[in-house]
Amino acid sequence: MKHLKGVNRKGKKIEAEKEDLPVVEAQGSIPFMHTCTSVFNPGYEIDWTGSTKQLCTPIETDLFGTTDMYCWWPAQAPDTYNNPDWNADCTRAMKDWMKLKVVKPEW
Amino acid sequence: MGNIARRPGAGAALLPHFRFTAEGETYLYASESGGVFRLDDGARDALSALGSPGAGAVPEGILSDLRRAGLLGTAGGGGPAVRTAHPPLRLRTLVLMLTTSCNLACRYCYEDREEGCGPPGGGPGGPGAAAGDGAPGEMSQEALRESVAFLLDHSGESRKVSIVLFGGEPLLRFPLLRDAVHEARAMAQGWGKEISFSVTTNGTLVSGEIAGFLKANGVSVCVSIDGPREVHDVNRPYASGRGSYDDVERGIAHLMENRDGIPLAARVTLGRGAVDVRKTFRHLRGLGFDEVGFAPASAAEGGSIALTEEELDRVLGGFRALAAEYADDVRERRMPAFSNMTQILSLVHRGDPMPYPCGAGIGMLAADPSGAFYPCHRLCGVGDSMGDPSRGIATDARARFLDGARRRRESECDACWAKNFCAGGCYHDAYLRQGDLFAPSTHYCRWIKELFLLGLRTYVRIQNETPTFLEVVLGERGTA
Repeated sequence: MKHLKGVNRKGKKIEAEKEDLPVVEAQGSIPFMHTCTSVFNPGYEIDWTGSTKQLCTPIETDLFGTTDMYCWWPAQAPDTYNNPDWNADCTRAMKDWMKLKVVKPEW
Repeated sequence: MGNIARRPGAGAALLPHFRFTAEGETYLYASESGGVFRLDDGARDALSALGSPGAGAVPEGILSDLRRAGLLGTAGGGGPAVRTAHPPLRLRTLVLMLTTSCNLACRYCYEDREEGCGPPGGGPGGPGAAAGDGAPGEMSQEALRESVAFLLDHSGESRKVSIVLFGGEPLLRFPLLRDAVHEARAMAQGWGKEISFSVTTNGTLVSGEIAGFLKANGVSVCVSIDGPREVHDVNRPYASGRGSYDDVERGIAHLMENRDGIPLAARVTLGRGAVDVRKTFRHLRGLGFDEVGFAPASAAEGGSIALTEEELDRVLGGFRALAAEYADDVRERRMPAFSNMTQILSLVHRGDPMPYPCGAGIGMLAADPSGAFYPCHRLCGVGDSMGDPSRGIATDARARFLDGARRRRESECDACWAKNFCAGGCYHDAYLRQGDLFAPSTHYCRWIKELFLLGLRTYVRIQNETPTFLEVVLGERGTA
């Protein structure tokens, strides 16, 4: 980032990320993904090639949508209230989603 | 949520953010990412251009930075209707309402007592003056034991739990409090948990014996005190009308004689006519308190105790002075004592989302004297109970509560830049003011935003002068 300088912990994390990775653009033309039920919504898995390119619209950006207030599919991600650090190493899911920590249920 | 297209320019909306100046530079708080950034001139101009209709093109490099910072996106992508899951209950803190009796008759007290605040039998009372086990409004030994067992049983894998001994005035039930500490500690050992205790007291009943017990058992103490005598006695008299300051001061002296490394905190309630926060702060520091925190009295709109707009502004003015002293203290390597600022700086530092205003019903519950659970101590008796130790958690009531909280945060507050600081405000305050637990505390919006702006500016100053403080002290503080 050239024009913005991170100041707090979150801002510095965002700034520190590498910029050479491509930003995943919307893949809105994949018809299957627009007709499936939430049960089949692919979440943040990878596709058959091992990448995320063929998944639904930049699905990695949806990852944080499965936590807390956006938790329409709670099995995807832990709630951030009780697991505040689960994504500590992953400030931008589109780039470093593989660094997410696995949180196991306690009961 | 879902299908968010992040194309540069076309269709991209500016997401909630707040631009401010501090220390001669322009900064930005991005509400969606929680990041705080310093802007260069290009980014500042671009942000202005993006915010005004018909503005010219913005260079791609700047757009890219703004996108990464969480400033650009398609707002309002998700529908609240599909957001159904709530965080699981993972109890860390249980507030025990040992009694609803109190020996004071504070003018702003929210406890609803038909027979006034005095303990049964009248008079200022002493330790044990309240009725004992089984009386209405008094917690029984059995209810206490079951509540503690419930906490230990529902704290998941967390090794640490805490109990807040509350009331009414909890020291009216000192024998019960003493037994509670001993018994809960023994029970926690059996569960393999670490347990900590704190008590919030009006200070009038603290004797040498009680202070010695609290010290010996590592119970942290928070004293409700509003300032010097002439300020304190305005709103915190006995039922007879006599001021309580002298008794509080005596109690504090006992606590100071028995301090043992655990910070002693003062909690100041700001009611009408008592808003000189600088004077109060200095006085309480002089008495030896390590931390001083302020909160406006919760009161019905237009009530005789609610702060006026002018008074709220005076409070802000005082807070600005205390914030400057806070940063001075940090620079000089002294531990700052203005606890409101510590809390705000901690929120700024972490930059985490805050879907709920507090831990009520999530990591915290309160048990009323009968043992019934409520989201917090202030909400005991308000709305539905969240269960009790024998029946367990009333999951329906809990879901309704969290649904309400979430609806508030996602509707009225969603576009507000300060949503991650305030999350709609205190449920109880909303209930008193507006008769609805989940009405956003809009009466405080302007004030809260000014307060958080003060927090952001103080954060920037400390970041420039003493950055290690932020990571070492604030970085370790827990989330909400």
